[in-house]
Amino acid sequence: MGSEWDPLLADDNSSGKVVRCVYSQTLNLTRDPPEGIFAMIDEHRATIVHALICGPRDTVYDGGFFYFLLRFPNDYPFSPPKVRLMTTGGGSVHFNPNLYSCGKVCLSILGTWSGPAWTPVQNLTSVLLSIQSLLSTDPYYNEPGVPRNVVASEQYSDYVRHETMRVAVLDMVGDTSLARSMPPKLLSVARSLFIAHFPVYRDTCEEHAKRNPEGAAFADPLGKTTGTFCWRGLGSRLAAVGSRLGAANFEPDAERSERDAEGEGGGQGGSGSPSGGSGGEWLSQALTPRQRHASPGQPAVARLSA
Amino acid sequence: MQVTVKSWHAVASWTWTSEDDVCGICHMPLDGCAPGAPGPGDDSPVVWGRCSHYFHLMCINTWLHNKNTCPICRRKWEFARCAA
Ligand SMILES: [Zn+2]
Ligand SMILES: [Zn+2]
Repeated sequence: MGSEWDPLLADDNSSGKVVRCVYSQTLNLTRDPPEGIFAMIDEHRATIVHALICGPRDTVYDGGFFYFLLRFPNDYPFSPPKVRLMTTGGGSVHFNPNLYSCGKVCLSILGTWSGPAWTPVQNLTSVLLSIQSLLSTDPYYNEPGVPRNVVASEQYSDYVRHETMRVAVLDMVGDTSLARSMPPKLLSVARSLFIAHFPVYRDTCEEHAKRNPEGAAFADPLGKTTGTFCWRGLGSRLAAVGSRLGAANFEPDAERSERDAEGEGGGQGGSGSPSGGSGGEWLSQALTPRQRHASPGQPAVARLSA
Repeated sequence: MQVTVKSWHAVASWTWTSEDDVCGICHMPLDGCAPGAPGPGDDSPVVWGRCSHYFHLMCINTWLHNKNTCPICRRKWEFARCAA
């Protein structure tokens, strides 16, 4: 159990070559960002990149903000960056069989998992896309060798969905030390996406409060965590954070009224993702063209510190 | 507003070739200068592997210190003969 993977424990001497490489790869990413991925270079250390990966829609990570720190070694791109997940609830949440609660990211291209290793044609974008692909619909099955088990998979998903709301949503946009530790530009990206997605969060809390009774223990089939469900508590926290950030009155579009109409049809929809297309386009909606092509002074999207 | 394309009659196409003409390792133009090379052109030659992937000589050599595989297709790297 070494700590070679950990960007927080690496040396801080950097060559000009690496700095240029990191700069151009970050620039490429911000010019043509994959959906739900944002990145920026640290203001003081040019070989450190802060990245925000949004949980893809229709997964248990939907609407979550996963904050990563990447450090590019001196021989980059000939060896991979070191990557750490910072969104761990203070080391308490095991978001995925490949995302440890200590922040370690297990991916073969990072040299922290078996499988195809790093090669120098990988880059910042491909690393972040690989991480994003871990945030999948049934994360339980990322655990190697587990047999097909629908009940266990649902139990794990219930746990992850709850912790996504508690830690990857509310801790990330609320007034927490984790939120304060992020670059302000990334925080404002997360907060504006939060506001756009607010009605969906509210529905998720309501829906899952019915499914997972308040105070019931997590049933983590991988046995890595303990804790209890508190969807009602999260609902109140959501309302408080939402009103502080000005999201509580957010009824932006036809989408919301569609969802209300669907809701009146009776709640026989399954668990899991919000019904149909509702909540689906939140990321693309939130990323208006104005934000995508950030202009000077525009705080939202990950611009490079020159 | 939404536009539906009903038919498409292509008369010509063109493309920038620059995307293909960069080294996959350093992302600099192949006819430009690899990082650390003294200059472009003959000072920063381009080499092909038998797998048909190509890189700046300096870039692939640095990688071959670590591993004897093509960075793109992961096959064993063998230099193609000149003028292949
Ligand atoms: Zn090169
Ligand atoms: Zn090849």
